[in-house]
Amino acid sequence: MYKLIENTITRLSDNASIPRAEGNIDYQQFLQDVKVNTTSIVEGADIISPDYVALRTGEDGYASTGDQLGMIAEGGTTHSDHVAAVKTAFPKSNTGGTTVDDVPSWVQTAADAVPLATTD
Amino acid sequence: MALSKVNPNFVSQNLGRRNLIINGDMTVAQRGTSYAYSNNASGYHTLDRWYSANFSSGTLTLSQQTPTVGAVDSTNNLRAVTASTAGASATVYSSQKIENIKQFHNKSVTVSFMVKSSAALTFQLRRQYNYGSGGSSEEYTAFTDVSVTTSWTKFTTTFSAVDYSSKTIGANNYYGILFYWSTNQGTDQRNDATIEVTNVQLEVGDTDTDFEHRSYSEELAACQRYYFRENHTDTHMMSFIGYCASATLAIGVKFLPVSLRSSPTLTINGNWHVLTGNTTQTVTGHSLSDSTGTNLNAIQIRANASSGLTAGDGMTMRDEGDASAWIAFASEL
Repeated sequence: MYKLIENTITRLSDNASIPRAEGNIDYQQFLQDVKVNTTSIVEGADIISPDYVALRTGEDGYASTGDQLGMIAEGGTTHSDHVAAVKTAFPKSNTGGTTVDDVPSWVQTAADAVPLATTD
Repeated sequence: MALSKVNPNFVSQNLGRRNLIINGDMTVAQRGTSYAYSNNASGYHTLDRWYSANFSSGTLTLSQQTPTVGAVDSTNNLRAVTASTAGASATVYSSQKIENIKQFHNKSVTVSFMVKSSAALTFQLRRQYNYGSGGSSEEYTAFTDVSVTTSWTKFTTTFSAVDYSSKTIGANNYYGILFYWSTNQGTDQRNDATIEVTNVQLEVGDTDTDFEHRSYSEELAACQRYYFRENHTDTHMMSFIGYCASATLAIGVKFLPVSLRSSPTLTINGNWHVLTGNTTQTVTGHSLSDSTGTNLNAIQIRANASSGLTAGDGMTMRDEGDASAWIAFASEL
């Protein structure tokens, strides 16, 4: 069994990370295995949805501490408006999660392109 | 003092880099010194550069041995033990794949090695012509018998030149030499046998020359083009450095002593963690960072943690107190 991780392939029996490189014999074996067993032996990449904590503290979340101190110093509702906007954009109901993507078409295409190996 | 004589032997010998076999004296064993190939098992599992396969109902056990001083002119040898491997479809072999079949075009090839066995028997050699990706179909030659006794004896054979000019040769092509410890070709005399081999030499030309001894460091470096393994024989050994890209991802680069042949397969075994400042986060997963393989002696690696990393921090990847941990890069043929 294999799992796709970004642009590489993980062989689940030993967690080896295999590159999509023609000269790599493990990649060639991967293609042979798909050719014989179909893409049913391949699991697509994980799609990770971040939870609200990661989103609020991420790039699109709260401003830096310095910027927030500046907002507070300005007075008024600038800072409270900023915090409220981030909380609205990323509500606590967003608990994140992981789903598995479909196996991309290149896997079958690449397997179809190689001849079936024979065992001597 | 004037030079009065030049030894004609000095200028006539085929000196240096004659042997195209790597690890022919069986000294390098980065993966381990023994391995038992069960039914239908194959791959690179013990002595470097030697691929083996056991397509039989029995077992093939390979190990690195240390012959007694004076028994044979080698520090180590390969021992192949076959058990219940005879059968109508048995194919049990070890082989070495030599890059670039073009170098053998229209040239005879001489193979020699030291060999002995547990009883007088015959095993077989065969050659494999692999023309690479998109190249002509792979070919195997006829078998060549090797008669063996219980004493160390040198076996030598010369194969006639082969014309490859009509072949389409693609990338990653190779010339293979195969040692069939047990086959369905002939009687079952190769069943339950112990065969020992060392000083394997394959040279272009029709003349058998003495085995070309190379230093361990030379042989190791040659092997590391195809496989590099860092064994952590002590705890908390640092492996490579990098930076934290997010709370759950660190990216580092591992510099290798020898450029690999191709983009490698990465295997990380055991327990590891990412060290940042004075805190550690257990590594929960890993993968190659770049599959294109444009830089074959500096491999980027992604290490995942469940949380706790800070983007922008520097990091060191090391084993998590696991003296049996290792990291390996394979780019075998």
